[in-house]
Amino acid sequence: MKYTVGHSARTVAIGISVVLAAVFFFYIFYLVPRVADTDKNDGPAPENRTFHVLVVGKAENESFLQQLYAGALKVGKKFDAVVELHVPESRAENTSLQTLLEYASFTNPDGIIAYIGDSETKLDSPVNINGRQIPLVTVVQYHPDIPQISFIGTNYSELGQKIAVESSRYLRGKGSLLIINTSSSNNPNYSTLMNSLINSLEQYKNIKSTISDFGFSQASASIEGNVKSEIASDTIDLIVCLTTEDTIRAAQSLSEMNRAGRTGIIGFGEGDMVNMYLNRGIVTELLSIDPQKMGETAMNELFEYLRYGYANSYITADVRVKRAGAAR
Amino acid sequence: MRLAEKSIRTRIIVCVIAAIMLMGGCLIVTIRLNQRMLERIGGSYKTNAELTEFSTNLAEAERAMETYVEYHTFESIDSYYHFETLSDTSLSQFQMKPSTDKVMQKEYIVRQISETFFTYSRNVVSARRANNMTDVESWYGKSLRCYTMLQGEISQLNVLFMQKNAKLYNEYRDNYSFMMRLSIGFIFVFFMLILAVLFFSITSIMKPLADISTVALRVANRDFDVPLFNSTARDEIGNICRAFDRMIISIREYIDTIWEKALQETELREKELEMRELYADARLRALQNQINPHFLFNTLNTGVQLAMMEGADKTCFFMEQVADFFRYNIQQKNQTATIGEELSLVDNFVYIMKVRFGDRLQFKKNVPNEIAPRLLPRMTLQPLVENCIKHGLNGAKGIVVLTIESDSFFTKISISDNGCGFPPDLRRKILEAASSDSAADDPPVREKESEEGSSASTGTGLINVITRLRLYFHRNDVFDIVSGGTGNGTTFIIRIPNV
Repeated sequence: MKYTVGHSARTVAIGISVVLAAVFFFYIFYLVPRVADTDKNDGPAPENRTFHVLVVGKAENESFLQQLYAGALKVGKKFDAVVELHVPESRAENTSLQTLLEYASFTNPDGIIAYIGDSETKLDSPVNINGRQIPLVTVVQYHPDIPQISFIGTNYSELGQKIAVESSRYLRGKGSLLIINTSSSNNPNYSTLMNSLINSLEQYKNIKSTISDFGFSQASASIEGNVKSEIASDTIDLIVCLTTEDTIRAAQSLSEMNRAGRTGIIGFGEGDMVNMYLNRGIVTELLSIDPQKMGETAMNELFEYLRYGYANSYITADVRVKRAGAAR
Repeated sequence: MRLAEKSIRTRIIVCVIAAIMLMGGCLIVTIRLNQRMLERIGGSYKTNAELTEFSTNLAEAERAMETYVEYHTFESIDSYYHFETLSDTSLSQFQMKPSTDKVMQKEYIVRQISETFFTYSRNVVSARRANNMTDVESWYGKSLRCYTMLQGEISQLNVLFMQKNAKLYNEYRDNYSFMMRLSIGFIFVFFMLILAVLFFSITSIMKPLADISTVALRVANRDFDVPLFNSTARDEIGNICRAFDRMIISIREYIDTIWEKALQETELREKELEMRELYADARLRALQNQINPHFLFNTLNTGVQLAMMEGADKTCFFMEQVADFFRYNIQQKNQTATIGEELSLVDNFVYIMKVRFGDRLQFKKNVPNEIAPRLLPRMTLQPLVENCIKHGLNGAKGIVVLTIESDSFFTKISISDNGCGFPPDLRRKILEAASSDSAADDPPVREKESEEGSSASTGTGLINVITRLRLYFHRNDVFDIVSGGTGNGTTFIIRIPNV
C-alpha cells in the first residue's frame, strides 16, 4: 500500500475548485455586468456631431418634407451633421412658416432648409443667438424677402413640356384630355406651367384638351363633384393633374365611378397616397420632383457655403416620371 | 512549504477559511449588486425630476422677468438672477453637441433654446434697467415666444424622458427579478460546490486515517501480512504511517525470531526424546549385561559346591578364584578401591592365568609389607596386568613384574613385561587419545593385537584406565608408559600422589 494522502479525493477536490473558480469568475466578471448593465442600446450607438441642420416646413407639406429630410439625413453623416425635421404635427396647429423659422432661430442651428410654399408672404430672416444670419436653403419656392444662400426649385416651363410629351405618348397622339387646375391664378409658377403645357399640346393636332379651373379656394367636395361630372361625359381619355391633391381626387373619383383603366391619369406630386394609386394602376403616370435628391442637394449647398462661403444660388430639381407598369 | 506538507489542523482551517471567504465574496457581490439595482430602479425617473426642477426654475425666472419688466423691483431682479443661476447649473448637465440620439438631441435643443431665452431675457432686463422701453418691448416679445417654445420642448423632452425611463424602469425591474433568481441559483451552486470541495478536501486529508484504521484492525486480528504505507508525507499522518511501518517490521522480525526458537526447541526436544530412548535402551542392555555375570557367578558357585562334594579340591579352588574375580567385577558399590583390594584382584587374575598358561607365565610381585591406604579407581591394575600378560607372552616365557614403591610424594606402581615393547607412535596416540577422550570410537592398538584380530577392546581398556586415573587424580602425569624398545618389554607406571 502506498500512502498518498488521499490522492484521488484531492484530485477531485482540485477539479471542483477549478470549476468553482471558473463559475465564480464567470458570475462576477461576465454574467453580472451583462445583467446589471441596463444602459445598453439596442440600436446603433448614438454619436455626437458638430453641425446641426434644421429642416422646416408646414404641416400640409409634411409628406414632401419627410422625403426632403430623408435625403438630407442620408448625407448628414458625411458632413458630421445632425439633421432634424421640424414640422407641426397637424394642420390644426396652424403654425406659420415665420413661427417655424423663429423656432429655428431659437435653436441656433448651423443651417436651415425651408420649404417655402405658394402662400408665404412676409418672412423675417432667421438669426442665431448672436444676431448673425443663419444660412438658409429654400426649396420649391423662392422667397425674395429673405436672404437665401441657395434655392432649389422646379423649372415649370420644362415641366409643362414634359407633361405634354407624356400625355401624347399615353394617348398615342390621339384622344381627349382634361387638365385640372386648382392653383391660384396669382401663382406665377403654375401660370408658367399651364402656359407651357397648353403650348406644347397644341403641337398635337389630334389631341383635344380641356381645362377645368376650379379655383384655389374652392372646396374639395365641390372639386370632386365637378371632376366626376367631367368624367361622366365619357369623352375623356386622360386626366392631367398638376398637384398632388388633384391627383388623389381624380384617382378617387375614377375608382368610385369604376372608370379605372378606361380613363388614364397623369398626376404630379409625391406621397404615399398617390404612390398607392400608381401601384394600383389607377394613376397611369406620376411626375414629381425628387425630394430626397433635393434634400441631398440642399445639404451639399449648405455645407459648401459653410466651408467656402459661397453656394449655387439657383438649382433646378430633376423631374421624375413613374409609370404604373414599372411601379408595379 | 506547500499546503500539502502543513499540519492537518492548518489544512482544515485553510479549507474552511477559503470556503467562508468564497461564500462571503459571493454574498457581498450579490448584496452589492442588489443595492445597485435597487438604486437604479429608484433613480429611474431621476431625469424627469431634474427636468421638472429645471422647468420650475425656468418658469420662476420668466415670472421674475415679467415682474421686473412690469414693476422694476429689486426682489424681482434678484429672483431672476437667482433662478437664472439655478437654471444655468441644470443646463450645464444637458447635451452640449448635436446628437443622433433622439432624446439627447432634444436635450440639445432645450439647451439651445434655453440659452436663447436667457440671452433675450437678459436683454429685456438690461433694457428695462435702462428704461429703454422700445428694446424692452422688442426683446420681451421674443423672449416670451422663446419661452413658450422652450416649455413646449421641455414638455416633449419630459415625455421622451418618461418613455425612456419607463422602459428603463421595466428593464431594471425585469433585470432585478432575473438577477435575484440568478443570484439565488448561483449561491446555491456555489454552496453545493463549496460543500463538495470541503467534503473532498477533508476526505483527502482524513483518508489516510481510514487506511491506517483498516490496517490497524487487521494487525489487531493478528494479520501481520499487511502492506507497508511507505509514506513520504511530512504531516502527522505521515509520521504515524512511518511509525506503523516500523512497528509492523519489528513485529515481523520478532515473530521470525520466535519461530526460529520454536524450531530449535522442537529439534532439541526431539533429540532429548531420542537420547532418552537411547538411554533406556542402554540401561536395558546394561541390566542384561549384569544378568550374565550374576548368572555366571551363581553357576560358578554351584560348580564350586559340586567340586567340593566330589572332592576335587583344585577345581574347587580354581572355581572359587574365578568366582571371586567376577564378584569383584560385579561389585560396583564404590567407584574406588584401595591398592590392596586391587592387588587381591590381580592375584585372583594371575592364578586364573597361571592355570591357563602354566609355567609359561611368571608373575613377580615386589610389594612392601605395609602399603599406604591409597585409593584409586576400581579395575585399574587388573587391565594393566592383563595387557602385560597378553603382550608379555612373547612366544616363550612371559614375565610380568608388579612393583610398588613409595616415597614422601608419590606411591609408584609399576607393571612391566618382557614382551615386544610399545611402539612410540602408539604410545603417543594412546596418551593423546586419553587426553582428548575421543579415542574410544577408534582406539589405537598394538601391532600384535591388530595382527591377531583380538579386537580393539584392549586399547580401549588401556585408554579407559588412563582416562579414569587422570580424571580421578586431576593430573596428566599420573600414568606413563615406558617402552624398552623392540623385544625389551613395556612398563606401565602409576604415580599416586601422597596427599
